[in-house]
Amino acid sequence: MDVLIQSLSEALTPFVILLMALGVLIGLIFGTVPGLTATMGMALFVPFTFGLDPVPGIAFLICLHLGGVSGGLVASTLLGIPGTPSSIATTFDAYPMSKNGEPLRALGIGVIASLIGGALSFVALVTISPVISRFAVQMGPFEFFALIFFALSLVAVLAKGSMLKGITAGFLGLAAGIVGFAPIDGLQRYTLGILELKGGIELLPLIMGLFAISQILIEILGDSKSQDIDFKAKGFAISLVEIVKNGWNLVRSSIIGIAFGILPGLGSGTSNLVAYAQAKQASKTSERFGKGAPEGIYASESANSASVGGSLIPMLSLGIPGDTVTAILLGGFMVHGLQPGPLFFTSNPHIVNVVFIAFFVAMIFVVFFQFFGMRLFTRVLTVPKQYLFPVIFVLTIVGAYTTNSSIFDIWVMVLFGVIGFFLVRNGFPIAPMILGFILGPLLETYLRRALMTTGNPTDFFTNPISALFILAGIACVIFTLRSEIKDKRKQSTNNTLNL
Amino acid sequence: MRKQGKMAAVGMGVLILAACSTSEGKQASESDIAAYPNKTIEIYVPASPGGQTDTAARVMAKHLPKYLEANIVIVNQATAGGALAFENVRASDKDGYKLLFHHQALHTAHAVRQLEHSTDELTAIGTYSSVNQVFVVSANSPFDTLGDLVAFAEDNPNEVTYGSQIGGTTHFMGELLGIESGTEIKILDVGSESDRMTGLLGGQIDLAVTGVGNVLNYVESGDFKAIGVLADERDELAPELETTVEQGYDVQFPVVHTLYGPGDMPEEIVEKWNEATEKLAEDEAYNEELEKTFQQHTLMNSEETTIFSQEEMKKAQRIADELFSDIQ
Repeated sequence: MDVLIQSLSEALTPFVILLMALGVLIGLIFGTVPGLTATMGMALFVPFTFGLDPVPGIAFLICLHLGGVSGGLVASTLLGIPGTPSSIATTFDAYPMSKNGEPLRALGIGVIASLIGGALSFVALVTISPVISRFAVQMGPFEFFALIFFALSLVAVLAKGSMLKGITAGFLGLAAGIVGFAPIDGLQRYTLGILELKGGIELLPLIMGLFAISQILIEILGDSKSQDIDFKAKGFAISLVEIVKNGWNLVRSSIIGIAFGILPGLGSGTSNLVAYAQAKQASKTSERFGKGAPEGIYASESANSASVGGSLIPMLSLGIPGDTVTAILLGGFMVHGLQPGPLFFTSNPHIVNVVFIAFFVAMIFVVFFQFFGMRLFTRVLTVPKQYLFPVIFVLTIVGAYTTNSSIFDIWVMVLFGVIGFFLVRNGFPIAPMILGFILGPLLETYLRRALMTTGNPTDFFTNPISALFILAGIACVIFTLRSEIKDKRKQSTNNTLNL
Repeated sequence: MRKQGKMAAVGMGVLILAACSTSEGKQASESDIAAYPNKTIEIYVPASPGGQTDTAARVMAKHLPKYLEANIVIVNQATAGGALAFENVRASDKDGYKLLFHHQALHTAHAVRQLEHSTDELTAIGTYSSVNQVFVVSANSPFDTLGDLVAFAEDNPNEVTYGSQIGGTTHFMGELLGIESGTEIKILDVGSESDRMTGLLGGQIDLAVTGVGNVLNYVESGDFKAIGVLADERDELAPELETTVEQGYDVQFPVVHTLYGPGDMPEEIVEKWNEATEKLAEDEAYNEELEKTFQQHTLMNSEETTIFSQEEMKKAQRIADELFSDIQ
């Protein structure tokens, strides 16, 4: 208790609070601006904290982290461009809702969902993190393979409504993920002798191409009609009843978010898609997904915020970062002479408390800034497109370049912009493609690692956790296909009746 | 529809144009050399921000300008196993404004044919910080020393599993242990440092290697046992840990961060770096900051570094030959 009071007194001085507000604000900017990500913000500002004491430095970085992931909401909702990879799924329903004239409602849902997801992961972080992380390290390559297999089977769910096109998009994503050095043996695949392709296609240029560039192309060609926007909504523009109705969705999505945050290599970039697919599968009105269904926004935004808390769990209790942002954060800790590791909890309890406090304060600041910013942000929609798009275009170029300081990535982005344009034009969903791209290489890596361990494929089924996830994945595909066929039959009988 | 086709064609065309270029940079002129450094120096780091290599480079870049008046920026290019950063520096002008900062992963990557070119084609400028690596086993492992582990591995070939990143330095460290002790240790790909720690904590592997700073934490927490520092002398920051050499196995593999420039860089520029680095090695603030991350400065001038780099390249090649002969 004394430690807590000491941490509180250190972390809640005016200077530190100001820094935390600044951290959240910088994070929100990095998250909001398409092309800039929380990872980049972290990489840029870690050196800035070298000059600070550990407490303000770390509080600042934690706030920047949460701000960065939360900020993705705004661009996703208003522009249909995910500000960061962690808000890809947010675009699917928040953008249509915004186009239907309800941008404030979409943002309100996002802010509340973020808060709930963050709060649930905060509770997990503070109460049971040593237990969960001890459990998480038991996951070997077999379990990882099975989990990713299951997540990948959700391509079917995301494709629901236009199964053939959706699965095609999923395979396109897998194909893009194959480019570059193969996992483990480093064999070159589809590199065409181009040096830059050895490292494969980067996630950020791919996303910026598929969403931002294709979006700009579509708008230039004048496909979208502008709608009257309702700027008058009060508060968060949503009712308590609606939140309660989405209670289970929020809890499930937050659990997915926390779990994916803990597991290395996954994180908020994947959790939002998986939570979204799960919400779509569980929904009775899944045909409304992609057209402005509030459930989709609740799922995506609560999952990505929950992943932030989730990724801090193994970092604090075991010294193992859950994702790329926390990996950079770890580097930041080391410069302050704090070696994160299994001793971190016991040897630096007051820094651990600072992390908790900063996380909590960050959640409040995020809601605060977004609540007051909501009405301001939505004014972006009134900016004429001929001014808005050039700015976005430049920003995405900066973002694509920064990943590797490589011009090549900008061309990759442009290429995927053109590909995305044709896909969207012809009714192919983008979500399965992203999921295939992110998960395909991970699936292959863990498959090969697992086979390397024992060389026995039956182990995938004799290992209980692995067997469970593989069966769940197969069941998910069969179930989705069946209901899709049923829907199609119903549709065709309806059509004949109408005739 | 015509509009779309045109756009696609332009996009493709530019992509193809951007793809080709492999040449060497031009020599620096006399006046360039005399004025060096009068521009921002870019140091390419083939690693992600926040990691050990990146931290080492950033600490150096922060303190070195006291002795070499220049603005130094770090460019992180972790993609393609470092091939992009390597090529950018190799093909750059030889005027000393584009340099490469990395460790022996450059040698191992070339030995397993992931990197086309070898460091022998670069100018080795000097070495900076180094980190000792330590073999670790889980606290409930039956092995207390490297000898225990080797004795078990002699009787049970391919039973001891070692977690590494295939093709990287950790893979070579495990392979070297196998060669020097004459045992068959099963080398698995587990992934990055954090994945290896997870694997050892979760009991999926028997043996792993990690930096000395990391080890102390896990040893103190009662999770790991350290069974051998991969060096001939004990680590100053952890003198209680036994080395592999004193246990009778010549497995030395401290990770040494080394600065390279493009091939045939002017001697005068290299000399300016060496002089500045010599002063840096004495700098208290620099050493203090390194120590926080459990690194120590290792001072070698260009000549020494060249020999060191060539030796390391040969060592990596020797291990890789053994590796490939195992496969065939």
